[in-house]
Amino acid sequence: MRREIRLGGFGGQGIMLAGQILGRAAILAGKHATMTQSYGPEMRGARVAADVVIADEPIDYPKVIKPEISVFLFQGAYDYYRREVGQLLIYDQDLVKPELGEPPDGLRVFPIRANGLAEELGRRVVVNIVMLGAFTAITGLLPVEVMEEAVLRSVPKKALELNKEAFRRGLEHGKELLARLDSEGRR
Amino acid sequence: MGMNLIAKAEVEREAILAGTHFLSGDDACAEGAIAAGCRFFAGYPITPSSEIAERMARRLPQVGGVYLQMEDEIASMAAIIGASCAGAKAMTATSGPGFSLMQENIGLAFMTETPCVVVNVQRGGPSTGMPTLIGQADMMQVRFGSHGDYAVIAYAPASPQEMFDYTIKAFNMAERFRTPTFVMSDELIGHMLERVVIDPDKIKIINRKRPRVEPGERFWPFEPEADLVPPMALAGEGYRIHVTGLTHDERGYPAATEPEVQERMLERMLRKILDHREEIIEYEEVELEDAEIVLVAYGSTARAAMRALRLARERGLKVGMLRLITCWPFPDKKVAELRDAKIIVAEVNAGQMAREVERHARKPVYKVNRLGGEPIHPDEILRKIEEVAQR
Repeated sequence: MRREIRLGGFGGQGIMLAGQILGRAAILAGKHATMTQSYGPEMRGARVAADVVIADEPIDYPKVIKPEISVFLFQGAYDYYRREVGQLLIYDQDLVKPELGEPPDGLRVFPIRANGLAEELGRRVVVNIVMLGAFTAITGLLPVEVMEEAVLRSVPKKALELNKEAFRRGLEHGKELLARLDSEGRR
Repeated sequence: MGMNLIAKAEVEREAILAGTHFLSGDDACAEGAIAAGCRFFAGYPITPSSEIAERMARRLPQVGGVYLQMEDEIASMAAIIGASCAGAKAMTATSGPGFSLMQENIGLAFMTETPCVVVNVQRGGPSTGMPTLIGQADMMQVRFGSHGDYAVIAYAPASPQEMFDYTIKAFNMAERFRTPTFVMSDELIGHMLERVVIDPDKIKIINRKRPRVEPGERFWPFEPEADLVPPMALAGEGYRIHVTGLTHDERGYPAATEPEVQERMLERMLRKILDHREEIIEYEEVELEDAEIVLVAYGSTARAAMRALRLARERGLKVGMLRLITCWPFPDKKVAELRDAKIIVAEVNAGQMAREVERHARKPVYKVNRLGGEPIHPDEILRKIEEVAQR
């Protein structure tokens, strides 16, 4: 089955790295994956998106056609892509304010404290890894161990522990959020 | 510098990035070059090919090679010709504007029968056009861009895996036929990441033929053997050689006022490629057996065509695809076999390879085109299939 994921943010947040980690994890899990990217001509601070397709079979068209899962770390990216977020919207609760009102049927929404958790770790740069942790818990798309392995293979050696911690905090945060929504019967 | 960049006869296993990776097409291209034995890269970075130069700049020193940042693409092309004459497997990578600048020296590489590889990751043109966005509009430039007559070997990879595989193949064919060869990629393939499996046991390396006599013995640098390809002596080895862009005889001496030498030498240079076209030509056939409609596509557009094919088949339409892997030499016989089908050619240009398909199928084809900036969407091809099916 073809799964399409869009990760949106601004240049410098590590969106491309997050997309690469997700694709690498899919490969480690024996699946097929493609990642394409879109960005403006600016080097930093502009809207960027990493689009990932994951499938059990070889992928024909490598670009995202209609995303199923959207993850946003930047208001500008959300605003640009808001018309097609798919069935699952995950976003940083401090950096993105989606104007959804009551979410339409078939859309599940997960606000994540990714930036806040990254700041608590003392390094805001790991916001992408925190978000990947939460993404792993919420989507169940790929096994936790495989995602963690992909993170550790993709970050500088001197930052292994920091990233491991960032991934775990995101993962726990995602699990807690799921449990809370379950208990409220809102999942 | 005391370096020895002369290509080794064997696969240098320790230099190869063995394993299963999630790589961009550009990165896979660089790794393919390293695996093929490329130890010299001269280039001028240009989007969307810059990642090739970037990776070569990092990787070549690790494997005893040389990366040269040149002042422009004219010099880049000249440098790889020189490096190859001295025995190194050499490559450059560029995009449209740089490819235009390289054209004269590409002709020099053809005329001097110097093996080398030129990668063009195509973007929207003409001129500086759309640096970060896709194009496939240099397909005729690679065939005819330099002046004079010559025969071209050019590949159009459709995935990062093929960027790896066909960069190696481009080196092998360059060495086999003493000719420049081309990897005609596009922005989508260059920048996208996908699984790339690199197995050193499966890599086959071809090196240029070397003189069969010792230095000092009678050796003519452009005297062909039975396959029409002359063995190549390296600069500084001790053989007497002369290399010129002027029309030259088998000794390499200029013969710029001798039409019979031009006839003899140029005909051989064309035939050394074209007589071996069956050995060189590669394509992929997808569900052609019962196809009433045949899609012809290459590079990233073939992947949109593949999806359109599947969707059309689900709707009961008998659609197949001929995916061009070598755009040049063109798979003329295969295309001629398709003439009973309705043919749709999809490409991100105003209809370049479509004309070649029409020429060999000897009938008009249907076209799906975009002029650059955006890849062709599978739905656009599907709509054309449905329209054509009604006729």
